[in-house]
Order: sequence, then structure tokens, then C-alpha cells
Amino acid sequence: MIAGTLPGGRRIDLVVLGCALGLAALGVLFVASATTGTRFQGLAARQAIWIAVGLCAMVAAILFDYRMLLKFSFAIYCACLLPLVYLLAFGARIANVRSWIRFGQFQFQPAELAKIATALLVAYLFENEDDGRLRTSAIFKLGVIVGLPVLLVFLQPDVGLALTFLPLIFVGLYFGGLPAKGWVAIFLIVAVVAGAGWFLLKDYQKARIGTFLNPDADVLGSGYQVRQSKIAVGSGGFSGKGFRGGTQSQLRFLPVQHTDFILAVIAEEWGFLGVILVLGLFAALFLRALKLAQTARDRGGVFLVLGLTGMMFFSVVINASMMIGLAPTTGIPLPFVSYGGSSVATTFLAIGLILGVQYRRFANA
Amino acid sequence: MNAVRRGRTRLFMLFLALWAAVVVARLAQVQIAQGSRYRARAARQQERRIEIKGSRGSILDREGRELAVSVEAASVYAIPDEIESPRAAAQALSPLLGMPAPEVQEKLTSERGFTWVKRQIDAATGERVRALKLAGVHLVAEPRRFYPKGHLGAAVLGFVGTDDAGLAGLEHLYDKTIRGKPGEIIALTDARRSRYGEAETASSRPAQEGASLVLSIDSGIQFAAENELAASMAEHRAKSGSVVVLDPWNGEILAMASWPDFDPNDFARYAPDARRNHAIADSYEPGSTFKIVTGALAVDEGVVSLDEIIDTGDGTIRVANTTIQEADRHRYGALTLGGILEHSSNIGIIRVGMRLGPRRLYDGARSFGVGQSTGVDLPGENSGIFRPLPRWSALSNAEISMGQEVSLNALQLARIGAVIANGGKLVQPHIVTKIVEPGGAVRAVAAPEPVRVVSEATARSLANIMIGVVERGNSGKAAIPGFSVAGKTGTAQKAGMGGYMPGHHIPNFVGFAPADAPRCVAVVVVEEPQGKYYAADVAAPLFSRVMSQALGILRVAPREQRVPMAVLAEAAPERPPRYAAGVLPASRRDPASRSADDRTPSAIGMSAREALAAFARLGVLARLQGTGFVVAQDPPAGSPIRPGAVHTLFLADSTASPSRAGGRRAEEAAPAPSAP
Repeated sequence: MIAGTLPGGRRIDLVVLGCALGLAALGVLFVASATTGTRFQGLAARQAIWIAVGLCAMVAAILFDYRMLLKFSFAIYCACLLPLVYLLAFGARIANVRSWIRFGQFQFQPAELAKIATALLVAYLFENEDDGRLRTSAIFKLGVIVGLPVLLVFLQPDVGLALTFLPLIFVGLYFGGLPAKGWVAIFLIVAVVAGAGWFLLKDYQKARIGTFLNPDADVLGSGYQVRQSKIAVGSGGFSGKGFRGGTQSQLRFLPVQHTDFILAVIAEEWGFLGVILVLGLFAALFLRALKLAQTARDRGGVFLVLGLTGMMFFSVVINASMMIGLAPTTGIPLPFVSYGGSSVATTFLAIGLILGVQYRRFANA
Repeated sequence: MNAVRRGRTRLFMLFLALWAAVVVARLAQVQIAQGSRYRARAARQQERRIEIKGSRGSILDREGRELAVSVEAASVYAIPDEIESPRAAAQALSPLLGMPAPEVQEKLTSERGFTWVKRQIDAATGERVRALKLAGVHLVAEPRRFYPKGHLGAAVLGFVGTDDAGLAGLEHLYDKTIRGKPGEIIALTDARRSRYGEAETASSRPAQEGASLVLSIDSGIQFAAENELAASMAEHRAKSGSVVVLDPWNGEILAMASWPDFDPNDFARYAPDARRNHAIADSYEPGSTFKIVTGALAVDEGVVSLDEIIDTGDGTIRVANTTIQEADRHRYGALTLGGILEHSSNIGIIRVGMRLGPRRLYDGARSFGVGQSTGVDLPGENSGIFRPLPRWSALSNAEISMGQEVSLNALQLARIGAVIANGGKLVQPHIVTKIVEPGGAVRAVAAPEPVRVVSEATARSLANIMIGVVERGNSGKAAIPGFSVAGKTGTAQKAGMGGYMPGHHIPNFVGFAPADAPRCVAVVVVEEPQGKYYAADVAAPLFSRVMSQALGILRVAPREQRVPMAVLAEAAPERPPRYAAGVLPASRRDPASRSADDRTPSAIGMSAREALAAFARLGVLARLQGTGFVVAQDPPAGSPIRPGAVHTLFLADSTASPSRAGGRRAEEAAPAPSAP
């Protein structure tokens, strides 16, 4: 239940918290840089508000016993999927997708919260699994638990967001102990599904993959973003053009510069060093989280930390790779940094859960 | 925590590290190794290079009057992103631009980052648009071609298309020379180009103006030629016509008129035929005007002497089983060569031409430029037809002698006239005399030296015959009171399919004046006049009217005012003075602009020629009294010049005042003593 007191800072992992706050601060800074003087001006302040919301959620998550959450995870999971169903049925299209629910001035992406709920349910699933080997029924359950929200989000359609659920499957299988022949089977299945899936992809999605393979083929069309991003990153050089000095982003050559391409803005204005700083903070956070996972008191806690970290890690990998042309443009934000209220708030919620697991790593806590 | 998971966690960390290494390596490649390349690319796309058209150089007449100029026009463009209220902006712009408001609004709400609203509006309207201070509505200067004198010289000047390309005439031929070099403004711009035109940087390159052309055309003579041609066209309801006025000594084209004409400011409104330069693009059989070529060749070759009597018999001649008759079945009997040309006897000139024979006639006519392009610096010249000898028929010698089986354009005929006028040399007609670079450097366009065709004596003989043609022959209407005029008519029939077309005549005339010291050669051609069609009735009067005005504009004094040849020869053997390069003669200047310091110069002691030249330079009319050297003048030297005043110069015989000193002595006795 709710812990009576917060027993001193030493029990909260300061590395994870520090990295998260540092990244969030950089996010506000560069959202401000990228949006000042544009019609997006003022988003940095909104981002700060969302960070505050996220911090409150984080504190609540630390204080609330994650084992209770795991116990009720199925109910939470169902509660979080309902808005996704509602959106598909009645949601208004914003930017051509049914992803957002509006609350007055603010809008929220329920899918972000669904990510947390799904991670909880996956952790709960493995809490009750035997440690030794992965049973087929668990694999099937894992597939359903993750597959349902992926499908709902995919139909919005927000492919990028749907993809961010997939690391949960990987985490489950990988840390759940799927043997080598299982991986071979999965690889074959994925290959067949991908082949079939190509026919299901929308034209713009095919174009994006084609663009990834040959970015200069369609310079003004879908290749534009990748190209402009690379120009921004490349022109930043070693130490960058200085804060607010990024001509690519300031002159709006860089598309969606405050959301998906925020890292390119950092790369342009703070250069190679800036990107190393951001990636270093992420690396520290992830390595620390993996270490924390090993100290968790129960399997549920382990898988909760691994699942949440895996999703974050996946987002960072895809986003950073996309920026320098190593992955196709998918519309996956950079956790903490990219502008996006739901993303930032729920990422802090995830951090809260991770810290909560760490906070309660001793059985008697 | 089991061992499997622990191992897999390590593996996962390894993967994380691997990925991090790949990303960092890639970043290092893009940011550090290729950084400068990407920086250059960024700079390139952030600099928007806005090309600004360089304005075309002017086209000026021989005295610097503007025939074609580039005027600043404004073009309105919009950056739709910046516009606050497209509706209000459209309503404000609509009346100024003369466009319906919905159309303007459509442009202002365009999806594109940049859109032209209206191009090349006049500067005043541009200022009013600027004064509206509408956000997102901008102006940029774009030069536009303007022909201040409208129709004047249109066929020669040509016109310029919307893309700044010269499409006809001099605008076309000299396009490379007069077209400006485009400059560019390098503006810092964003992806939506919204800083367009603001941030000029040091690397902007200004547009360069093209070079200007100075023509040999004299606007005054050109105006007279066009005016008279149009009047004549109307009087005779002719199909088309042309007038060429040439300086016989150097081939400079003083005027070239073509009818129907057009306004190059609005060229698209006219039919192609109106935009055609009939003076060079049309060739026709000259008919009797060609007889001067046959005559000159015969005299030069010595096959006929001037006093030799040639029998034209009963007015018919049989050549190669064909009977050729005199026009209107005249019978002229025995005629000298002069008589043949005065009466324009076909039989006579055929006899003369047969004496020459095909070879000498062919070679001789070629040397007069027949069948060859004149090389004039105008596009679209039709060099006419003159069949090579092997393709001559048995009739050709006779036919060509009287100007058939051969075709010429008006300029070629003028060039032939110039040979007679200048003492036997073929000149190269040309129209551009100087190219003035934007910096002011003047490049003279050198015409080839005239080439001797016939001897000076031959030319003089033919000139005398042509004076006779005007004074005694059928071309009396070409005469100009006060001047001796030499000339020759021709009335060709228009050749059509399978022979001459009855009723389709081309009266033409070539002549020069003053006959004893020619200043101008002129050719007039009238195609298909209705009613009267003889050149003597149609072409000769037109020639007279154009030539008399040309002489007046050139300030050639009529015979009674002219100085005796003896004095001229003594004072200056070359032809009358020309204006200094690029200098606008005072006579053409606005009287109001004449400085108050301009005072009557002293002409005392000068020869008549020197005095006239000195006064002409100041734009003062002078009248001569007596012969010899100036001994007195009225009003006196040093008095202020009043516009329009006629000064009288009193001359005394050179024997009476043989030296300048004598002239000065005479000055003391002058009725109006001059101020120092």
C-alpha cells in the first residue's frame, strides 16, 4: 500500500532520475529554440507543464506499490484500451489520425497510457510464469496482450506509435527465456508476415521505406525530411552553430523540428557534442535501469522495468537512427525530449514505476 | 534473478553498446567528416538566389534620341503565409491592379510559398501598392521595354518578347549585345521563402545593363519617310511599301520605313505582315530603275559613248524569236544613252545591254550587289534573285538589261543608287554605328571600305543622265525646288504564277540629291497601288516629298544659298561636316536648356563652309549674302543668341580679301562692330 514516509533520497535511484530530468530540461530548451518565432511559439511552456504533470505521476507511481498495480493490471489494461476503442469509433481526426482526446486546451494520446498498462500486464504475466522455460501458452498470451493495443493504434492509424509496443514482445520472449529454435521460428514468421504486410501498407508508408533505402530519389517528397535532417545534423559539425543558431531548424527547412526531429535541432545547434550528451544521458539511464532490473525483488518488477526500458530504448534507437538516415521515418518521438504532452507525461510515469520497483527492492520495504 | 536472464541482460547491454557505437560513428561521419559539405548544402538552400533581370540597353538614333528604352516596371508578388487577411488584401489590390477581387484573392491564398500577383505594372501603380503596406504583398523592380516614339522605326527596331528576348529587328540581331546581364540578390530565406528580398548579403551581384546601340537612323528623316509613305499608301490604296534613305558615301541608313507598320509596345496585336520589314524582306523586279546599272556598265566598259546615237527603230525588237516592245508602244526613234534613260526606252537599253553581252552584264551587275545580300545588320534580308549565267535563257540578256528576270529589295536598289551618287563605289549599308557599353566605353562599328565598281567619270556621267531624267524626262514629279535631283523611275509588273499578273504593279524610284554633292540616296517602293500605277505618278512624288524633308533636316542649303563649288573645294574638299561622336547638336537641343552664355560667335574671316558649320553647331540659322569670306555678320558677334533668329553673313570675294588679315580689316568696316 501507500508507503507512510519517503525514506530518504538514497533509496531513490538518482542516476535514473537525474538523466530523466536532464533530458526533459534539454527538451524544453530545444522545443523553445525550435518554435520561437513560429506559429508553434509557446509550446515549450506547455511542455514544461506536461513535465510537471509527469513528475506528479512519477511521484505517485513511486509511492504507490507497484505490486498492487500488477495485481490490478488486467483491469488497468482494459480501462486503458477502452479510450482506444472509443477513438476508433467516435474520435475526431486530428492531423489525419484518431489519436487524440481533447480536454479543453489540452489533448491527450490515450495510446501512450496504454503502453504503460500493457507493460504492467506483460509484467504481471511473467510474474506468474515459471522461471525456467517459456511455455507456449505464455507466448500466445503475450501476443494477445500486446497485439490488441498494437492493432487498435495501427488502425488510428499511427504506425509509429503502434511499433513502440513491440519491444514488449521482444522483452518478454528474450528475458522470458525463448530458446534459439524459437527465435528462428519467429524470424521466419516475421519474414512471411512482412512479405504479406507489404501489400497492406499504405502508399505513403511504402514511400517512406523506399525513401529510407534511397533518400535522394524523391528530394521534395518523402525524401525531404530525411535529407533536411541530414543537412541539419551534418551542418552542425562538431560543436554546433550555437543555441538558437541553427539555420536549418530556425528557417523551418527541418520539418516537425520540435517533435520527431528535435534531436536534429540539437545536432545542428550543439553539434556532435550535443548529440553525445543526449545519447550519453539515455545510455546511462538504460544501463542503470537494466542494473535496477537485476536487483528487483520479484519477477513482476523485473519484467516491468525491462518492458518499460525496452520501449524507451526502442524509441530512442529508431528516432536517433531516423535522424541520421539509418532508419525510415516513422514518427516516433524521442522520449523526454520531443514535444508531446502525453509522451512526456507517460514517460515520467514509466520512470516512476521503474523507480518504484527499485524503491521496493527489499522484501520488507 | 536467474542466470539465463543475467546472461541475456549482458547480451542486451552489448547490443546497446554496439548500436551506440554505430550511431556515434555515423554521427562522426556526418557531422565531423562531412560537416563542411553539409554546411555548404545548408547555406545553399538557405540562400535564395533571386535573379534580377538586367535592363536592355537603349537604342538611340544618330543624335542620341531614344528609340527604345528600358523603363522600370514593378511586379507584385505575394507570400501567402504572411498575409493576414487575404480577403481584405484582395479588395485593396483589386482596383489598383485592375483585376477582379476574387482572382486576386485566389492568388493570395495560393498553396505555394511564393506567387506572382501581377507582373510589370507601371511604377506609379507600384508605388500605390507599396503605400498600402499590406503584409505579405511585395514589389520587385523588373525592367520593361518601351518604345517612346511608338511606331517610329518599328520595322527596324523589332520588338521584345515577355521573356526579355529580342524577337525581331535590331532587338533580335543584337540581342546578345543589348540584353542585360542578370544579377542576383542572395537573400537569406527559410523554407517558405518568407524572408524573400529582405536580407541582401554582400555577395549579391547587381544586374548589369546591356550595351546601347547608336543607329545611323535620323529620327527626323525616319519620321518624314514614314509619314509620307503612309500618306502615299492611303492615297494610292497600296498593299505595302517602303522607303530607304541612305548616306551614299558610307552606307549609313538614315531612314528605313516600312508600311504597313506596327507599334512595338503592343506588337502582339498586329499581323505578321505589319511587323515585316518590307524594305529588306521583300524583293521585286525593279524594272526600269535597273537601267542605270546597264547604262553604267555600258559606259564603264566603253561599249557606248555618251553622245552615241542608238536607233530604237519602230519601238520593237526581236530577241530569240520574241518581240519586245516599248511600254505603251512608244516610238522614240534615235536616242543617246541619256535619252534612253530619260524616256526609259526598253529597246534602247536592250541594244546597250546586248552590246555588253551576258558575261559583262552578269559580272557587272554582281559587282553592283545584285543577287547578293547587302550585309546590312538587320535580320531577315531577302537577297533577291539573280540567276547564274549558265541558267540564263536566250532572252535573259535582253530582259535583265531592262530590269526583268532579276529581283532586288529596296535597300539593294538604294545601294545601286549610292554607287552613282558617290562616284562609283559600292557601300555596305549598315544601321548600327556605335555600341555604347554600360560603362560609357564607345565602340565604333566599322563598315567595310566602299569598293570601286565603276570609274568616277562613269558615275558622274550616269548622275548627269539621271539629273536629266528628272529635269527633262518622265520623272519631273521627283524634282525638289531649289535642289538638283538625280533619279530614275521603274514600274515593274508583279510576277505571279506563270508570268506577270496584270494590274499588279510595283512603281519604284531611286534618286539622290543634291545631285552635284549628294547627301542622300532614297528609294521608294509602292506595291500594288490602285488607280495610277506609273512610278512617275506614284513613286516620284513620294521620293520628292521624303527627300526634300531629309535635305531640310540635314540642313542642306538650297541651291541659291549654297556656296559656289569653287569656294567649297578650296575650303574643304571632303563632304559636309558631321556632328561629333555622341554629341547632340545644339539645333536639336531644347532652346530653354541653352545656356545664357551662348553668344553669337564671330565668323569674320571664315569661309562660308566654316561659318555655316560653326553656326549649325549652335543651332543657329545662317543666311549667306555674297561669295568669298565672311566680312560682316548681323546680329553682331557676342550678342546673345535668340532662338529662331536668322543670322545674315556678308561675304566678300576672296580676291577682295585674299587673306584672313584682309577679313579682319573688313571687320572694322562692318556695319555692326562685334564685341571683343
